[in-house]
Amino acid sequence: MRRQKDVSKSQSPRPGEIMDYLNTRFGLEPELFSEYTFYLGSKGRVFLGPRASMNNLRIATVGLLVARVNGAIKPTTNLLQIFGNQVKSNVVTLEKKNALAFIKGSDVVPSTEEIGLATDGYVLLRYLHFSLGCGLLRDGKIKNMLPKAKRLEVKFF
Amino acid sequence: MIPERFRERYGAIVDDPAAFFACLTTFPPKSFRVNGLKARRENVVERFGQYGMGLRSVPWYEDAFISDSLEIGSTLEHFLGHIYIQELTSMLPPLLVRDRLPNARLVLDGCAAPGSKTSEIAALMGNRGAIYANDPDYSRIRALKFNLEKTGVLNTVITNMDLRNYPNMRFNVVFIDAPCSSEGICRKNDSILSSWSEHFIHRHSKLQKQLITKGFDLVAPGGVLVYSTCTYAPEENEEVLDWLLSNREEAKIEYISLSGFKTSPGITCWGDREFAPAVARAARIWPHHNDTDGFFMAKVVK
Repeated sequence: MRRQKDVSKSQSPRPGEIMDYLNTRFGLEPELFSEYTFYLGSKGRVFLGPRASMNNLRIATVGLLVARVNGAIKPTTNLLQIFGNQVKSNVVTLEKKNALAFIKGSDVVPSTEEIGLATDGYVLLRYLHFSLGCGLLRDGKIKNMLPKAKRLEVKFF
Repeated sequence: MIPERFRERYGAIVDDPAAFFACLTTFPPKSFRVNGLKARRENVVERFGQYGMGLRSVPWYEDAFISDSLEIGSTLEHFLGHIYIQELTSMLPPLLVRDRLPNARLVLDGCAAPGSKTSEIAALMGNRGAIYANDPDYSRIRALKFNLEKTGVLNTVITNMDLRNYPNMRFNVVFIDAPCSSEGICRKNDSILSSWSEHFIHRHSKLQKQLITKGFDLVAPGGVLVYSTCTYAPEENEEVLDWLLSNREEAKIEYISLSGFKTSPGITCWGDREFAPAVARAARIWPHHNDTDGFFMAKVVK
């Protein structure tokens, strides 16, 4: 089985760059992350985890996968769910039908009311006050960015 | 079908053999924990009320709930990681040190997969400090990572090592939820009893003694080790504690008390074996006392 790259041997990515993006795009204040450290894994994966010693340990992963950096920065559903209540911009608030479709894993076409002031790029999808996850808004459509393992047919909503 | 030898072994040490063996033929209730890292208890209770799903709280943990519904896993709250489906007994070990966890800087969960206890520990720590969540089996690390992601846990370092080879660190709290013969979960898994053999018990006992000794060596002075199994076998429980007390004179077992949860003391005599009197401070959890799985746990301070 393929093993994830040992993150302890990686250098931290430009945390300032990631925090700048999260602040500019979503209004997330850098202070939110001040207790943690950004770690870079393989394939541009960025983790947010504790400041901790990793000497002589066989590390599988650290903290939470919060972004992928491959030219552009792509935030994860993990990040947007845990800090969703702090997100101030680029939020698409879905109606029930679209929210159910998103959770199931479908791309959705939101109304202009649902899109609100969000601009093209990665967005936080909300239903009521619940932070559902990450989508990619482009030309009025939302590409579903939920990992397949997290998709679910929700019956009680 | 309960093996005759199983009846002989535990009929001798349980308070009410008839109730115990009858309980083993029934399923335990479905339970979950509200994940304090993502949700507020009262909001979850309100939403489940709207779904028409009856919930029962338990007196010993305010975030634990029982539901008769088979569709907890189809709720928005499950998708969001606001709740975590978890056996009641699995929630117990972190509660033994819940007063210490908010201020703990370093915690080790020595046998962490699939992450139920780790995510509960993280919630009790408020996502602060650092939890080293270890499991030696790489195939189980994937489930561990998935569950910690889903529950929004930030403060973990997941390691994939044989705990016996762990580097010489010092932790405020160490959890050893040891691999065991799993007799305690036979209510929901028939194969435990159908394949039951004392051979498994003896095989696990040797490893458990090594794990508890290593786990205790990783505890900082003034820190605490929580040892637990989901088995009734004294060879995997009291005998392991007795081994630790014999080999680490600074190990002291503390009494366990969980308000509203019935426990029985550890036994001090098994066959021709006599254990140190202090092992009676450990807690045996018989399924018919609280309608749970069977469990064993001990709190050892250094």
